[in-house]
Order: sequence, then C-alpha cells, then structure tokens
Amino acid sequence: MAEPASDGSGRSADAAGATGRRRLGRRSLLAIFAATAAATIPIAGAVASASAPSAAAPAAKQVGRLRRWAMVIDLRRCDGCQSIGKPPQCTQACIEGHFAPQPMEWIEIYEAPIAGRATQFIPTPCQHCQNAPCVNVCPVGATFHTPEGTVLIDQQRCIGCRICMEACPYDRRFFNWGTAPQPPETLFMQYDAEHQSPAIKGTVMKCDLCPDMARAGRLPYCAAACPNKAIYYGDLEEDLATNGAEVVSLSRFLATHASYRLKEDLGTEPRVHYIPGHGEAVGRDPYRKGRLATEWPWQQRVQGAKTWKR
Amino acid sequence: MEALDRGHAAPGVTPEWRERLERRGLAPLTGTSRRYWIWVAFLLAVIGWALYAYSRQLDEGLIVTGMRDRILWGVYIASFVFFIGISHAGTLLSAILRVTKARWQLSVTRMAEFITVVALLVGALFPLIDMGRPDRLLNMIVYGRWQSPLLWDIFAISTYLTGSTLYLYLPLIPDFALARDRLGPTAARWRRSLFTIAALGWTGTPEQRKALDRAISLMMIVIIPVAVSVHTVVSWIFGMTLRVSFNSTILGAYFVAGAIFSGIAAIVVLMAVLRKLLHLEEFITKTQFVNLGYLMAAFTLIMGYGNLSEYITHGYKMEGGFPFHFEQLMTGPFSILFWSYIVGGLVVPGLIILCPRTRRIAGITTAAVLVLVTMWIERYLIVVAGLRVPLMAYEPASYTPTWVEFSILAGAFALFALLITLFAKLFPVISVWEVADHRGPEPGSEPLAAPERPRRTALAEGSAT
Amino acid sequence: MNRVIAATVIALAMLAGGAGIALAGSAPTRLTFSAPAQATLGERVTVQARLVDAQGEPISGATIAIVAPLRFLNGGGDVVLWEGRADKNGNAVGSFEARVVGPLALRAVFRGDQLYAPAEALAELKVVEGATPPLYRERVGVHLPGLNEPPGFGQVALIEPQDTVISRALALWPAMSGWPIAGALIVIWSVYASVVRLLFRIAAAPSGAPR
Repeated sequence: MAEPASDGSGRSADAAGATGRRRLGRRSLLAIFAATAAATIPIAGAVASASAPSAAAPAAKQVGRLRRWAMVIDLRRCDGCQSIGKPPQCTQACIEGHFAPQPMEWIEIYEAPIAGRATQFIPTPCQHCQNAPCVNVCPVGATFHTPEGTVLIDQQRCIGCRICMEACPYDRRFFNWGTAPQPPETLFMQYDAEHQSPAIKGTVMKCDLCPDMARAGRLPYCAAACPNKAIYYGDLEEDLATNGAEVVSLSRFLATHASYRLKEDLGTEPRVHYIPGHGEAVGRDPYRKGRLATEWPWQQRVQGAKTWKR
Repeated sequence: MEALDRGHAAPGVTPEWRERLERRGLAPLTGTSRRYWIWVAFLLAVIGWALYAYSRQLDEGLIVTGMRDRILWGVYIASFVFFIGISHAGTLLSAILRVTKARWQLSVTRMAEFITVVALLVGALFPLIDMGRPDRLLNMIVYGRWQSPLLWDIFAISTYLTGSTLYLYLPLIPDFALARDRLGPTAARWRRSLFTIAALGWTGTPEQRKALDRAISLMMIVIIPVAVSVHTVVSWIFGMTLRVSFNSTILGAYFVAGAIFSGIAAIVVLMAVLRKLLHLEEFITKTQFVNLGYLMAAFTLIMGYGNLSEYITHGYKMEGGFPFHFEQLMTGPFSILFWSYIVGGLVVPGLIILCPRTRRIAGITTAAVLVLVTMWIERYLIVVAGLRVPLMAYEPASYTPTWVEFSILAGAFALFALLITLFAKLFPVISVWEVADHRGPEPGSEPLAAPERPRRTALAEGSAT
Repeated sequence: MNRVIAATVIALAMLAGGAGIALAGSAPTRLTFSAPAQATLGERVTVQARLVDAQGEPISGATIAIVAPLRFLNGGGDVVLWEGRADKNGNAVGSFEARVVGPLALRAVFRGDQLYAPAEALAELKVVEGATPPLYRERVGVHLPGLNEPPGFGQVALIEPQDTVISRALALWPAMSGWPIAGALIVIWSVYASVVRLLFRIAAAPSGAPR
C-alpha cells in the first residue's frame, strides 16, 4: 500500500485514515500494523538529492523496519507563548485539530518553579512510556502499545474504571465524565483509536502523538503550531528528528544538550525528552510568570453545553 | 419426635438449656412481626432512592458525582474497600479462631459468616457502580488481562464469595435439619421445603458427621489464605501505582489488618443488635463482647503500628510529595477526618476496652461503632487524599461527594441491612448444634426470667417473634 | 602639514598592513576526507578528515563537522552526524551509526575561523540493508532467556473475540504472570470441589437409626 508521500489533505478528510480504510477500529488498526503498511521507513525517500529537496519519489517499503516515534521538547525555546500574547499555541492546535472536549488539554503547559524563584514552562503531552503504567494496569487491554511505540486507547473497549488514570504519573489521561461539548463535525466522523472523535462518554482519552500525521509526512498539530519551533518530532529507528525548520540527528541532539525525561526515576521510560531551559533562547524573562488560559473554541457553538473542571 | 441425632453435648448442657437454645435460635424462622415489615419497608425505600440516584448517573454519566480527572475515585471505591474489609469478619471468627480451637466464638460465627457473605455481595457492587461504561462489563471476561490488579480483584472476590458461601452453608446443615424437624410440621409449605432441601437429609449419623467435619476443616483452612489474598489484592489496585501514598510495600499487610479490624467491629455491632432483638442474652454474653473487644484493642495497636511505620519512615525523610501529603492530612483540608480516625478510631476504642470500668457490653459496642465509622473515614482518606497529591505543577484539586454518591452509599448500607435481616429470617442466627456440642452454657449466664411478650402476628404463620 | 601627511601615510600603511594581515587570516586550507564506500545499516561508520593549510602543514585543534543532507517528514536539510576537534596532526576521526538506507552524500566541513578559511570535502557512502532486526529495541522489563521477552508489541496479550479459549491460553505462555494466578485458583477451587463432593456424600448417606 503506497505511502501517500505528498498527502496534503487535512484532518477531517483523513477520517478514513491514511490507508484509506473506512473504519479504523481496534482490530483493523492492528491488522494495519501487522501488515506493516503504515509508518515504515522508505528506502530512498529519506535521502535528499544534493539540490533542493524534490518531491520524494514513491519509495518501496522495507517490511519490518517500523518507525519508533519520539518527541524532544526544547525548553530553551518555550515561553508559554507569552511573547505572542496568546494561549499556548501547541495546546490550541491540538484541541482544534482533534476536537478535544473541554476541559481536556492533551498537551498541557505546566508552569513549574525552578531555582531562584523563577518558573519554566513545560509542554507535557502524553509521554508514551515504553513501560507504560497505564497499559500495565488496564483490565481489558483497552489501552495498548502500538509497534510504532505510541500508546493508544480503544474507547470502544474501555469500561471506564479509571485505574489507568490512577496509574499515570504525569496527569495525562482524561475522562469523559459527561457528554462533552464537541463541534457538530464530530458527528460525521468514524471513531478510531487515532481519531478520537466523537468522544465516547464514560471512557478515557489522551494525546496519541499524531502518528497518522507523521505517516502522511506531516508534523503533529502541536509541533507545527509552535511559533518558536520548540517541539521536535523524531524517529528513534532512523535517528532523525525535525521541528519543521531543521532536521537533527536525534541521538546527537539528545546527547549534546543535556536532555532529560520527566520523572525518570519512576522507571516508566517515556519517549518524550526535554532539553532544559526556561525560554531563554526566545528572550523570556524567567521571572515573568503566567500564561494565558486555554480556550476551547466550540464552547460558544454548543448551547447549554455541560463541561466540568478538571 | 426425635429424628435427629443430637450428637455429643458439651459439659453442662441440660435438656432445658438446650430447649431454650433451640427455641431462641429458631424463633425468627417461625414468622414475622409488623415491626419487621416496617423495617424492611424502610430499607426498601432507601434502596429505591439509591436506585433513582443511580439512574441519574446512568443517564448523565459520572459527571453527577464529585469525581473529576484529578481525584478520579471517591466514595464508591472507598466504600468498596470498606465493605470488602468488613467481610473479613467471618474469616477471623469462623476460621482463624476455629483453627485455634477457641470455643467462645461459636455462638457468633453464624452472624460473622452472614456479615462476610453480605459484605462481599454489597462491596462487589461498588466497582460496577463506579464504572463509566457498565454496559461493557463483560469486556472484563472476554478481554480480561491477567496483569491487571482489577482482574485479580475479580478472581479473589469471586473465589472468596464462593468459599464463604460454602463455609456459611456447611455449619447450617444440622441447624436446617433441626428446623426441619422442630418447625417443619407447623411451618408453611415453602419454609418446610426450604428446610428439608437445605438440610440435605441430615440425620446426624456418624458418617455424615465425619463428612461434615472434614468439609468444615478443609474450608476453614483454605479460607484463611483466600481472605488474606482478597484484601491484599484490593490494596494492590493502589499499591501497583506510582502515586505518593500508594507506592508502599506494606500496603497489603496494612489493608488486611484494617479489614480484620473493621470486621471485628462489624461483628460486635451486629452481635449487640441481634442479641437484643432476638433475646439471645443467655447465649451471647459479656464473654463474647469482652473477647472480641480484646481482639479489637489488639488491632488498634496493630493499626497504630502500621500508621506509625508509614508516617515515621516517610516523615523522617520528607521526600517527594510527602510534605504535601502530610500537610493535607494533618493540618490541612483533611485534618478533621484524619484526627477523628486516629483519636476516635484507634485511641478511644483502645482506651474503652482496656479500662475495666468501660469494658462492658455497652462500652464495647460504642467502641465498635466508633471503629466502623472511622474505618470508613480511613478508607476515604486513603483514596481521596492519596489522589489529591499533585502529580505535576498544578494546583491541587478538591473533591466533594454529591447527593448521588451519598444516596448510593446509603442504599448500600440499606441493602446490607436488608440482606442481613433476610438471612436472619431464613437461617438461625446462632449455630445451635455447635454451641450445644462444643460450647455449652456461657459461664455466668442466666435464663431470661420474664417470658416474652406475646406479639401479634402479621401473617397466619405460626408463632411470631 | 608634513606631519598630517606623515600621519596619513603611516595610517594608510598600518591599514594596508592590517589588511594584509587580515587577508592573510583567510589563509587557504584544504580538507581531505576519507570514508568507506559502503556500509550496512546499523553499522558504526568511521570516517577521517584532515585539515591542512596551503603549505600542507596540519592545522591542529580545528573543529570539523560531518554533515549529510537527510529528509524527514517531508522536510529536509543538513544533519550534523558528528562534530569534533582535529588532533595536533590535523586529523579528526569521527564516527556515527548508519541509520538511513541509500546513498549518503557525506560532507566534512570546516566552518573557518579568524585564521583559516572554511573548507569542505565530499565523500559518498552507500548504506545497504543488512539482515538486521529493527535497530531500536526497547529494553523494558526483565528478560528471562528462553522464558519470556520484555514487553512490547507482539508480547502484549492482545485478545480478539475470535480467539478460542485454547489459542488464548497458549498466548498466555509468554506473559508469565498468568500462570501463578491460574495455579493458585486451580488449587483453591479444587478444594471447593472436594467440599462439594463431601456435601453430596452427606446427602447420599442413608439415614441412620435415630437415637
């Protein structure tokens, strides 16, 4: 199945999935992975010609060499979007792209105290841990590892017991306590584990690391929307990462910038790495605290919508 | 008519004493009074209200509760742990004490087993009530994963429930035979059939006695590790996570100790209630209360030790989220609940029991009530305060249970009481044959001098209690 | 007036001299670069670069980078694969893992400093596939050789409704956690079964003569 290398289609057209299947339920999703039709590394496509990068020639698939997604967030460049005077754009783009119900912030900007009584902003998506506590405790296997390394949730299997939320040490899982306000577009979408719309009441949701976007050659919403290009999306197998502006060797990037992971001592082995900083690369004053509150744009579109506080 | 082999009698058993025991023990089975129906109607009303509250929850989702993303478990799971904890009453009394060949508890083992079975049934409802998608319950069976602590819960609780039901039923067989023979001729047909079928043709032959003895011995030995594993496994839905107060290696032992502790208190309370209601003062005397009271006092020390271990070892180091956790428990939003538990649940009951002046039936019952209430508070604190410790740099959330949660909790207590009431109507609350065969008259007990007040019957069904 | 002219001449001379020195700061350099012609995927490739000046004298301590143009997610650019300093003989030995299959246009780059001019050298490396398993392996959990594999996709017990009991039971073998639980349950429930058998014996016993 050819990888749509130049697929520029937007998200809603992608409801059928990059592979063209109509309904990516749990079983079909796994069948896709089993056939390694998705997210394999093209042989010739990764190497640019010496001249300007042309549209990649359709490359043959190398069966068996899957992508292993990872993320690097350069905290030297994150200032909580203070400098542009808007709510954090990564969160906004993720909410709008995924129709994340209010009050879910699948990537959330925490403002953590640092030495010297200053603060730093830490964009925190789901860490997609290699030893994910949420996967370990789920009684029905509704949350699972994919071969690409992402941790997904099958909301059609989830029984809503919330032990996964109790187990997650990063506060990255969200529950549909009621029927959350979502825009009308979601009613026309087919639910699948990588396009979690419409949200199903009584089940758990979270960031899915946008592997379907990456398969189509695009950055996830958060990485693409960051005005300071602080979020890098990478592949541990091919050892490359990009933030949209530059491509780096992932392992070198991590090694040469004192990278770390959140709560490393807990043994969850997350695949989101952080480069320490407090926004200094974009001129942030570490003592300037506070960021604008996240907005959910369709709250205004749904009359009498019932939301909740986290 | 003596079709039943009464077996060997304990020393001191006179025919009159035995007659009184059998009559008192079987009295509730003979009929019902108006007081009974009013009580049942009240309980059904509470359960009905709880069902309405649950229907609201099914309709709108769990948003009708006070739980949210950060404090994601609350009254339901705290009550789950509480009821499963109470179910250890039966194991302690019926099994542990039986294995050690104590005899004083034989008059209350039946009540203890009632509590076990009913508490398990009620407790097992709470995770179902707490589920976001109860319509997908069968997924636990179809897609169940061995590695999940919740599935261990299902295995453990179903195994314990089956074992407790067996263990409740086995010593009931001779008492059913007694009821069949004494009450059968005058009882309604359905009661007669119930007694006859349940008695399994028991006539007390040596062969049957041997089989029953062996069965009870097998069960009393196997039920102890099962019960220990049940509450250990319940503790592991917390212990297998990486949260500040949950990530503790002694959680299993601590939960089992708390379970036995609250189980003892439940027996004392039920004992006090049924003793008064069914006029069993001659057979359940100060001995049972005092001995159970001593056990309860011992467990206040064990629980105190567990708490001390936790707080001292973490308090010395104050690592990670513990400064926050200690502050919220001891001086912050949970301080009232926490100190009520420590003082009202551990110190005061211990003092009541150890001080001779208060070591009486009334005092011990008061201590038991205090323990029950504060142990529920303790489970609530474990769940809610444990979840409130912030995982990342955000403001700690708060949790206030709503009317739905309190209504369902009240309904659960009402269901518990209703099932106990039903059991007391169908099965003798005192294990007649065991008390007669192995215990005999309580030292210092006297037969009730005054005859019972004759009661009006509500149904044309034999004499009433 | 003479003094002004003299000062101007001296200034101009200094300027020219300075300019001469500055021009001499872009002393031409030459970079030689050797790399193997071919490597297999996953192999650690060692390359060598040597920076010499116009006279062929080695330049020590120069920072050399090995870069290659690579594409990722519809974008691309020069990726620094290795960066380091040349030793006193002007040799820089770099190494990196070959992770991308195909022809790799390697460039050794000296970015230039105050004294020396920048220099580049090219080498072509062809990375071919080998019979290698995925290069990135997650190492999570305890591996008991011959008994289990660390958890990862394929080892997570995924159960689909069409699986039979037998196939599900067999799939549990790698996930060892199931077997102690199953064993304990089997032991306990067989005790229950023997108790039920005893109940049947009680029920079937003939009623003895009443005493």
